[in-house]
Amino acid sequence: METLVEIHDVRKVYKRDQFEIPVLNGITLGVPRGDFLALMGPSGSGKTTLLNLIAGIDRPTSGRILVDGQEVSSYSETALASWRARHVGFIFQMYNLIPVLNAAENVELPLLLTKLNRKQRKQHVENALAIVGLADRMTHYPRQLSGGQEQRVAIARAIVTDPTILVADEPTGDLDAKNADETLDLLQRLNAEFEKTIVMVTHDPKAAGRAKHALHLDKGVLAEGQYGYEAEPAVVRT
Amino acid sequence: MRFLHLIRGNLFRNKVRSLLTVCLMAAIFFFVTTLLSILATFDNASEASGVDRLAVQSAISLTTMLPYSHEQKIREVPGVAETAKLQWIGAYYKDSRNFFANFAVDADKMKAVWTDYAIDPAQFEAFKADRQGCLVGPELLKRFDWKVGQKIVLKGTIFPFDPQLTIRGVYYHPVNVSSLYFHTEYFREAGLGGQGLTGTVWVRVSDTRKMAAVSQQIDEMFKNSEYPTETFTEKEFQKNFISMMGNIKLLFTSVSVCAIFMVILLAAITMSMSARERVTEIAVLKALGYRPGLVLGLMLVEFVLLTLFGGLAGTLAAKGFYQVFDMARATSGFLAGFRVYWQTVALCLGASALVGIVAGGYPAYRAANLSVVDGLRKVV
Amino acid sequence: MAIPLKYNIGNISSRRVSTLMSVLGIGIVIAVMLSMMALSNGVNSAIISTGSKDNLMIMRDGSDTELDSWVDKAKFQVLRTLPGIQKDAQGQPVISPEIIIVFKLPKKDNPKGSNVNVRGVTPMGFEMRPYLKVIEGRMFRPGVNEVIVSRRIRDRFVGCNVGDSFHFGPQDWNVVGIFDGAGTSFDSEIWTDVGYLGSVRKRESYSTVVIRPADHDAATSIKAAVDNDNRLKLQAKSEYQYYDEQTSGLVGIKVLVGFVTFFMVIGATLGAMNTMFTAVASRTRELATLRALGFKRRAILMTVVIESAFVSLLGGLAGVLLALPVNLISTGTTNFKTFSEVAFNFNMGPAVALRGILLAVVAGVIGGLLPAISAARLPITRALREI
Repeated sequence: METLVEIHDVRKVYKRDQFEIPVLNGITLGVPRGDFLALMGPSGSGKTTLLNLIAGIDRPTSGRILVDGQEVSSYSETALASWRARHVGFIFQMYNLIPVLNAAENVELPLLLTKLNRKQRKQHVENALAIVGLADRMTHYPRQLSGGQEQRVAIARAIVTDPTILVADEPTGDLDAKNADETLDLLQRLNAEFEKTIVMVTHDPKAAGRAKHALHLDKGVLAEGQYGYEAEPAVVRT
Repeated sequence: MRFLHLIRGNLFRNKVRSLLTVCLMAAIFFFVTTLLSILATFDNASEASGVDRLAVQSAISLTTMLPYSHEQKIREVPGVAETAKLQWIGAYYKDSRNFFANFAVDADKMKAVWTDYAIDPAQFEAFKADRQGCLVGPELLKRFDWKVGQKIVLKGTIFPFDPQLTIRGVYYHPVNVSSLYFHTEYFREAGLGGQGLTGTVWVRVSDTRKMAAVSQQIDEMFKNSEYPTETFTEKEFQKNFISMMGNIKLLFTSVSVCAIFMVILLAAITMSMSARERVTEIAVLKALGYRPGLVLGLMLVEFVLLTLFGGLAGTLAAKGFYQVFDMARATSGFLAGFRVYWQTVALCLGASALVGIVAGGYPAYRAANLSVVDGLRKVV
Repeated sequence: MAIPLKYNIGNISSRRVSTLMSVLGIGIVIAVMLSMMALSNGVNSAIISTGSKDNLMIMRDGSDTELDSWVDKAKFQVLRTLPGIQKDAQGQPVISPEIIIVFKLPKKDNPKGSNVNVRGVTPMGFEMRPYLKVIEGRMFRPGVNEVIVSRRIRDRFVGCNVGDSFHFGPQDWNVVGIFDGAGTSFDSEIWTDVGYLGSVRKRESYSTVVIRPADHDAATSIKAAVDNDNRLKLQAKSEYQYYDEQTSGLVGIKVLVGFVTFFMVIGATLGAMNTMFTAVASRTRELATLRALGFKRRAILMTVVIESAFVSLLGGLAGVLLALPVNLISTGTTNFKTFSEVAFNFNMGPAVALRGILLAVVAGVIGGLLPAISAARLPITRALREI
């Protein structure tokens, strides 16, 4: 199957004051289209950084990242922003809904950057909210929703633009078991039914178990044995 | 505007804070509107003055008078259409705090010189016919609750003479709304113009293009006489009067600027607070693909709307307030033509918007350019 | 139990930038207010301080100002012989006939000129105003076209330095000296010999006559004698009262000062409120912790109010510092009662400065109250959860 995300020898070093902290030490990886990949690892292993790089909200110190054939690691800040708007859907641990906007308005946020008119946007918002099962909560504000509902609104916001890839950072980290389950069901459904490629960071083995594949990071490198290939880009075999 | 929800939501995010900023803006802009309106009133007084009139006064000093014979000679100057004597009386009504302008004027020539004054013909005839009649401005009528036909007595100050007058009519003029005019003849008979002296002679020229020439010719004519003259256009005359108060323009402008600067500082505090609170949300928007420029723009629009709304409230409140509140009375007639002009309102709105941009610019810029990763990390 | 002040000082210094901005903001409004007060104070003291309660001014009955008063020379002779007038060392009555004429002279910033009072006096006029000192050049000689000019007029008008001469009316006037009137309205005048001034300006009568009564009773009897003599048609009032009345021609300034003060206090109050709301919002959790530790609501309320008052106090002090330079401004306005120039210095004395600081603190307390109440009302649990 075709590789959607190609990561070539990516390194990331953070500078804090005069100290240099290496976070990713040469990652090479390929994620096929339609995959549901879990990135696991202890705190500080670099999994969130890797996710941020794939999502284009951070840039590698060296190495190349290609998503759908486009080398996003070479994009300028503004080009990257437009690229994200078109190709990436975000799901966060804390949901990160805008508290002053209701569910529909939150979901509409990414659509405001498109050329869609008001009616089309409304249609898309309704569809997205229907998919996550919250069609009846359109006018509710985040504080009027439960954590699980908030996360589902956030997922609706992530899929409303029909992005190329969904990135989720600990999507169940702040949820109880039942809501976490429902959220994972939803992600699985998006992957299976809508063929969304999903990359999810989690430290929860149960959540990782719902993904098609799981990769372990430790101290900025992929753990030996699983999908780490030396010579050519690691491709997750399906 | 597709981002309306977002902006509206943020405006009402912290209601107390927004309300406070609006209140502060409103209070300061009420204040600034008042000061600027006073300046505009002065400016307008000189702008609305007759374009075809000259005032001839003594070159020696404001209190030195001119002989009646000067008027005769001035009439002979080519380009002079009509002349009239005008004498400042400086009397007051009942209480010396009731300051208003009152003059003795050549009644029969009044209309011919002050062509821009509207007077009911019947009332004007009645005024001319009554030696002790007078014409008053509409504001004055309102202020002292006078009626046409009423007899009034003024108390003289400069001259030992208490004019006993009957109000015969009302004159209308866009700016001069609270003066009183009575007959030169009455003033003279009281023994005061007895020596044949008058404070000023007013001239209407037949061709406004020749004003400077006429003015110069008059001054030349009397240069070596015992009573040298100085001739001003009406506009200059008004401006001189205002400049006598000192540098009001500088004072008011600097006070206004200081007040606005203060609001900028305080608004900047709230706005940076507001921006700091929203760091994560802004990071989310940016992750969703909102470019820094757009985020900056959205925040600036929000801040500007906030200050604009405060400014609008303050300046319109001032406009409404001074429609009810009688500034002329409060200042003993000093600011008789006081009004909040729409130009002043517009100026204040411009300034309010500027407050939003200046105060919010830096916080918004910083927030908009914070890296997405740093912004998101704040919560995780 | 009260929360120690050290806590407030810690807070203020930890929010250095925003505290500095608040202090500056409040400082500016207080400075504006103080400047206006200094202006009003300056004008008032320029006029009122002129009047001595010891001197009686005799003017035409019905006139409000020296300029429209006249006292015949014959009447002056009558006044001179009134009983109760103090005698000087030579046994002469202390009485000063004076003529006040307005000269229009070119100003440095206005070549068209402005009106200046020129006062003709006898040596007795100086004796009655002992604070008036010639600080440069010499005294004018009687009977010639020599004048002495006040320092402030010299600074603001053209050709008024010692050795200069200016043209007014048919003659030239030679400036032979500069005097200092100790902040009185004489600081806006030019003085010369009364006899010479009267003769060249064709004045048959004096403008006013100033009398120094021997004592308080004499003052009362002289006043009564003048006021009640119907032949004289004159009035007597103390010099102080006369100058006090003159300030009514400056009512505009008083109204303006009141107006500015009102709005600036509102501005400072809202400013303090604004500052404290942000300060409280940024440490909700901290205040809740204090509550959890057992501090009473009242203690929270007090600590916020105290902090607000303290920030405003700093603002007030900043305002005084910002406003100090206005004391260097020397300018002029016109007394519309006399149409003549009043030269004055902005005068922010300690009393005015203190009033400014006090108003700042009051504004701080009032402004701090609302945020304090909202801080004291925060439920501990919710506040602890908030970020």
